[in-house]
Amino acid sequence: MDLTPASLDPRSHPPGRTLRPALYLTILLLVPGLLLQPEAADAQGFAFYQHGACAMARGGATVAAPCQDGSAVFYNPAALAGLDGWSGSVGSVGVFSRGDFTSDRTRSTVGMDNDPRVAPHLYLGYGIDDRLAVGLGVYAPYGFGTRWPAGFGGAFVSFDSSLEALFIQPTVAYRLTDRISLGVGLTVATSEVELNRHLDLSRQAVPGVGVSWAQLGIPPRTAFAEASLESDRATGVGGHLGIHALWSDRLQFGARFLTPVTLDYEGTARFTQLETGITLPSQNPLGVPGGTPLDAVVSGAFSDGPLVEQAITTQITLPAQFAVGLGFEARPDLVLTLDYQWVNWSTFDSVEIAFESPSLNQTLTQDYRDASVIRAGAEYELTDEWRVRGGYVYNQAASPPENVTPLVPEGERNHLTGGLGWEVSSGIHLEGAYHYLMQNDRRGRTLESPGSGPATVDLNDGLYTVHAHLVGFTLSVTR
Amino acid sequence: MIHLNSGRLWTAIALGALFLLVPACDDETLVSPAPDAQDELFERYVALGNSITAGFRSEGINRETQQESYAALLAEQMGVPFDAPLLNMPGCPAPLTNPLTGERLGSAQPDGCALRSTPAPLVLNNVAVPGAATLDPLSNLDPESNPNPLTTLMLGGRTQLDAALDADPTFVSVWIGNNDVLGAAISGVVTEDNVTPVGEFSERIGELLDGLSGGDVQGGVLIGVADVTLIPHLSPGNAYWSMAESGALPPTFQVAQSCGPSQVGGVGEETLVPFGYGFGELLARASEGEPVTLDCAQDMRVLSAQELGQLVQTVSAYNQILAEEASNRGWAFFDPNPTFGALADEGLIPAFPNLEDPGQLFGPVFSLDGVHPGAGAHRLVTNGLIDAINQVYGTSISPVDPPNWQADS
Repeated sequence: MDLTPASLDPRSHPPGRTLRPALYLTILLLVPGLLLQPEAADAQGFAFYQHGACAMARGGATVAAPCQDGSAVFYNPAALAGLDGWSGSVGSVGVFSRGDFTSDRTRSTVGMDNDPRVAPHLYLGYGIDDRLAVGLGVYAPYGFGTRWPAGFGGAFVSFDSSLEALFIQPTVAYRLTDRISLGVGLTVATSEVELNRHLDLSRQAVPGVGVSWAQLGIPPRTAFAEASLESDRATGVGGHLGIHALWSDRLQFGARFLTPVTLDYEGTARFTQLETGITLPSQNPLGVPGGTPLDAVVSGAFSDGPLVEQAITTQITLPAQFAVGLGFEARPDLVLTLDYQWVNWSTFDSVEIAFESPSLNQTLTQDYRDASVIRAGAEYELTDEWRVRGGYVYNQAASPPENVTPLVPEGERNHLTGGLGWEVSSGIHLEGAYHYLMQNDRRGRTLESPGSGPATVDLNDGLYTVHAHLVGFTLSVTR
Repeated sequence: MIHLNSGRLWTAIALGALFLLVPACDDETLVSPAPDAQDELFERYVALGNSITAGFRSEGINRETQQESYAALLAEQMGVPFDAPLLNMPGCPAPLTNPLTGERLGSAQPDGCALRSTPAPLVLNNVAVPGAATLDPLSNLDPESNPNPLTTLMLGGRTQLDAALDADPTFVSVWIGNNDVLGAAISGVVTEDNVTPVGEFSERIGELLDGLSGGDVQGGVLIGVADVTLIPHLSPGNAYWSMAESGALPPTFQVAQSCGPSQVGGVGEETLVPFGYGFGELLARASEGEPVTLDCAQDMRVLSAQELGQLVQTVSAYNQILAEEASNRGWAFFDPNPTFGALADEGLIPAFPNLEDPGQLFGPVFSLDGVHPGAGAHRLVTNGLIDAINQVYGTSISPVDPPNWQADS
């Protein structure tokens, strides 16, 4: 099996094969992925690690032995060095996630309403000479999308939110020696973020009175407004470094470092009044006639109060990540890989949202922790045309136990992966992968912190369960 | 250069994967909200009712009186959490500390309200509202319902039934109906308009219990309507006559012979005078020098024997309905009247306000408004309920300490 760092080494593709009709259909299936936004979190926190079907099938354990589909732009930029001629690949990964929340108190379960999501990837590479290569990658290393049904108790934290981040990475790789290569990329991130949540009337102040609605008896979780906070597209810049070394003919080493990217978002907050269904009895403390709908009392906030459409700003830092790994040719037809990854999630400590009306300013405390991922993979060459792959991934949780919420109910996870690689014809490869994500059941909350202070585990009121099926395809062409 | 035998490498990877999987499958679990519950039946206990259940006493209510309600005590014995719509101190309104002077806790005004305590609990276990009659748990907006500021402050516009169902109760207690007759009793005038007809009472109770059964309710206890003629707010006419005879009343406060005992040709032993009328109006006017007369035969504000009989008969009919409803649903039923009757027989419910000790104006059993039970009486009711529940459900809830009438008054 070929262990050269050039990820699209044409030597591995026998000439003389022709494009088959099925391939056209495949292309049609893959390319639309590029038209969709990446919106899935399958690794840790809201990271996404499926940027090529080959690597995905190996559990992402590829930093030392990148796949030959151009995904080295992400998995190890140094491994582009040695590329011969042009290469390109395109693909996408579909994420079919399921999750639910079960209440401690009632044992009732509410399921997530997530739609299937698609995350695209695209790579181009060109070997200028046997030492120098350039490449361009488009991939989505961060993102999430969570949607809960109307009426879910956690809707006051979030019921339909997403973060989309697409990285465009021009890359240069250079082979320093026959055994050592370096790579560097400039990452240009473009991102949008959206948060939809219900507003709880009981937590609002009664205008002109100096008390909260809760003090007047309005029950907690009285949804009176839907807040839709939607950003425009923001852009940030970072870098991606990689090193690759052949320690022997059978053992490779690789490492990469993706720098953090800070994104300054501007956007718009819109508020829609919701019916509370509450009609005030007579002798109510507001002094309005009995039979008055509460909605009529609070409607002014949407016309000339604080809940008018307005500008918002926020900032999010997509964290740095570092990965190091080994690739071992156990037999001529078998490669084993093992990666360790560290993600600097502690930079995701809070999200401060500034509104045009300062009274609405809000800090969403996250307090994520740096966390590790271990990946193990294998690739076996069945025939000259077919390869079979498998992998296992374990990741720690990034969110602390007090901040497991409907926004991103993530936790410790185990993953099993597998896939096939097919050499369709000379220079044309089609890779397919399946990934099953099993998140350990994790306690979390649906409640906001009662005051302005941080949340505590005492607020945890139930159990989140999450699992997901991911299916990916990548088509690569080498000329 | 590293040389690894492939077999050893596979073994190492397999062991490594096993090592990773062991700590990686550490599922967390649901936590019981009531780990100390005496029985799963009681996991989510909700109390519906009126002022007594809410913890109202001495014409006031605050977080301390709320937490001494029989419902709170019962939940504590059940070993389950019990959240009430707690009202800040000194209360809403603050309880009386001296009913003769009108002084209240914290020198608060009668119409003062310290509002709800926050953060408010997500769900309420005590959804009772002072002033509620049988219609009120079903509707706050019906022309015949009895909303007051506490209706909004405690339930935020919901009905008791709605608020109870929000808590997904597994077990409920319902003590409602006292206010269907109490208004008539304390006004001294019994009419068709101020006593809920038995038929309507039955319909409303049925509707309420059917509404509760629509949820996850697995059991409950119904509490009989209190015999309002036992409350110390009502004093026999002959007690006023005796006080007048002994010169304890101002000379301007005349008590007619009709209020005397039968030996003097009076009907005083068969009549009851509401405190609000005898003291709140007549004595107040007499103290200001205005001549007043209490006539137990003519005065419309005195409960006649016929009116008292009507009230007792109505309460008895109510309680028969409640007992049948409980029996039909397999629920427990507790009639508090034998308990309070025994206390009256023991002389713990004074026939006439104890003017020498305003702190115990109505004795140790009732609070300073003469209508609502005091803390000790709540303990008695709690133990009565526990007996009834244990008997029907075969549970073993332990009783609370019995009242110490000297300390609990």
